[in-house]
Amino acid sequence: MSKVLWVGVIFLAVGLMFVKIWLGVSISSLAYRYHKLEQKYKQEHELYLKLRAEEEYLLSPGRLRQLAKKLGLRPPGEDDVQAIGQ
Amino acid sequence: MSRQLVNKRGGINSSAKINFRLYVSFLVLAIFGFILWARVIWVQVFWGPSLARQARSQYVVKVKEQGYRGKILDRNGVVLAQSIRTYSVFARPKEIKHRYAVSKVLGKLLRQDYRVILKKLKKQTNFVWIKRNISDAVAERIRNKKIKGVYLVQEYARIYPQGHLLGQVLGFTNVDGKGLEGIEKSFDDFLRGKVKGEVVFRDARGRLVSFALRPKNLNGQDVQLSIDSNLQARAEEILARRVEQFRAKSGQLIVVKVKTGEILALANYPFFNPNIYFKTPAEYRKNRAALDLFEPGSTAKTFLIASALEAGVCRPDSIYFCEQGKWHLTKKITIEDTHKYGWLSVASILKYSSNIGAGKIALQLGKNRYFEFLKKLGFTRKVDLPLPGRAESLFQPLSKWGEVELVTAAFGQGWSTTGLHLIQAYLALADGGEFRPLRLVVGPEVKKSSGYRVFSKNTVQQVLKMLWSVVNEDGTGKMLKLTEINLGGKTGTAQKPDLVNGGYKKGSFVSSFMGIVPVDNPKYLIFMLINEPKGAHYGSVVAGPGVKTMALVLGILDNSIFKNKIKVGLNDQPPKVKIKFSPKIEVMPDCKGKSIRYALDRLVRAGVKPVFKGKGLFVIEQSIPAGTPLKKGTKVFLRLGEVK
Repeated sequence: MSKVLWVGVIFLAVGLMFVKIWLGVSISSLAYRYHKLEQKYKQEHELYLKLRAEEEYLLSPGRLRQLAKKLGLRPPGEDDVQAIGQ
Repeated sequence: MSRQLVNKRGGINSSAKINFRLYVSFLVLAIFGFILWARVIWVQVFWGPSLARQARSQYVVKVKEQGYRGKILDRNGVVLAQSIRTYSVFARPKEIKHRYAVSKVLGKLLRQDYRVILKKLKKQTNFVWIKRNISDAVAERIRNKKIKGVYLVQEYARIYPQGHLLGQVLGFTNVDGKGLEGIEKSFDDFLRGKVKGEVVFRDARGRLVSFALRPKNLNGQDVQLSIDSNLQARAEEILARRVEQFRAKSGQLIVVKVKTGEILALANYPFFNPNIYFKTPAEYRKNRAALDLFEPGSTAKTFLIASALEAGVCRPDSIYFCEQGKWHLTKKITIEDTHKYGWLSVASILKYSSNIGAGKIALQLGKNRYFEFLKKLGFTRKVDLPLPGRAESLFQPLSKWGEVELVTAAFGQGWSTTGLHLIQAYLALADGGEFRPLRLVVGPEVKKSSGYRVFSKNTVQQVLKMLWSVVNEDGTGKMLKLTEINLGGKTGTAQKPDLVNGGYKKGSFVSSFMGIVPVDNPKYLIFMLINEPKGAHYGSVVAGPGVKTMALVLGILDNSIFKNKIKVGLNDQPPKVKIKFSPKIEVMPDCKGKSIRYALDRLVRAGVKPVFKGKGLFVIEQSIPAGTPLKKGTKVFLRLGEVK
């Protein structure tokens, strides 16, 4: 009986050792993936911020007003308004 | 024993031979073992710490992470300032062999004079900045060149997408991201991103890996202002036009929401673009509305009259003799009005802006009571706004006030204040007599001192009625009358003091106008000041029209200020518009490749109702061919798209 127990304990110990190794490998692999994703997130976020800044610049009232002036746009006069139905 | 070892032929026997070999082997092994142990001890004891350090440096890397600097937003979330990551180039001159060639390459890529770069590379240092905050494209080109000794590092750059909009209020940061002026300086600690060091591991392939979870948000916090960027843009445009028209030195335009005391627009001219602060003279960076002191002139008469009414010294219909335009106060001092007035009521003194009338009311009120009211209106302390370097109003010590000082102070001479002080004091009048500090920042919540009553509601009503008459009757601002909006206000024209020779500078004026819209139920305050205009100097002529235009702009954003309510919405009846009839078109026009506007215009004139399909700004297909006769009521389908 005790022999069987010993064999069992040895098998369990070996099994646990393998589980530990497997967990270690998994953690490392996840850490790599996590780090890679984090880097990607940072890059995407940076790009997003740059594009937002660009959008804000493109839509800035001062710039639009200047462009409108350059293109000859102006507020409509009384004769420019036409009613096209209710 | 020795005899046993020697055989018959006189040689050594095999057993002895084996023993001998064993001894030798053991000896060799022992020596070898000793050497190894000696080496182990040598390496462990003497080289150990340094080798351990080297090993650690190979797989343990310390990285520093810095969060973004917070954004500055307007009341609607429009970004006024934000940080983005950019690259900066630096070099280690000692690692560079061919400095001339490197400087030539960098000069071309960075569009810089190569001699400047060469000078930097010739320095006997281990680190030198070549250029900071370069674009991603240029950084990529430099990276591809793989120049030894030239490196790229990520940094933050502060950008102001709206250009010069609100420039002086926002301020700017230096290349290291430290706020140096304006809101950037006042909220530097709040906006600044936090820095955190982290230990990561580097594997055999040089990949970095972290076993720690992502640190909590390191980014700085955002600051939200009460400014409406759209209104601000219009304010700056209006101000620039007024200053340029009168070839003035500078100007300011402030718009305040009465209900909350929030500053909606704060324009200063000349403009300042914080994106290029290093190229701008320091004079342009000044937030003049908070810093420039000027004599308020006639705009101050409103406070005198409100104070006198509140103190019970006079009533709106009390009359004062205005000396036919010349009042010899002392043998040397004569007070003058622009027109010869006889007896004027208090209401008329404000309406016609009589200096003599105001002076006489002031004498009756007394210096202590008048000064006390000015104090209550916030003139004796800095405006409670998070702006660096706000100016304090300038008064002579009250003990030195004689009759002359009191009389001149009544019509806003002999003391100086800022635009923000003045509009803050008017806010108390517009808001039912209760003093409340102005607000510029809505987030983070800034604790404000609670308000207190300065004038009774009755006094306020009487004064607002007088301010209405300034514009809507035959007062000094009669040319500013608006049919659409009930505009009231007070004109101000003050001579500029001569700081070198004393007295006042000839022909040098400050023109201002304080507008209240609508004056019967104040919702907005608009203050414009034009510094040293040429060609004209009256507040009603120089600054008044700017306030009038601004009032109309406000009407577009908040149509509740119009006299006749104009409702705008899907369920409302469209406003009645005079339709101009153009010659009718009888045949189907060619709309292909033309804009929607063109197609709409032509088809409506032909009496045809167009139906648009698809997305785009141009017509790419039409259901009826060009030239086909059209009947009234025909449906025309137009497919929209983009013209290639």
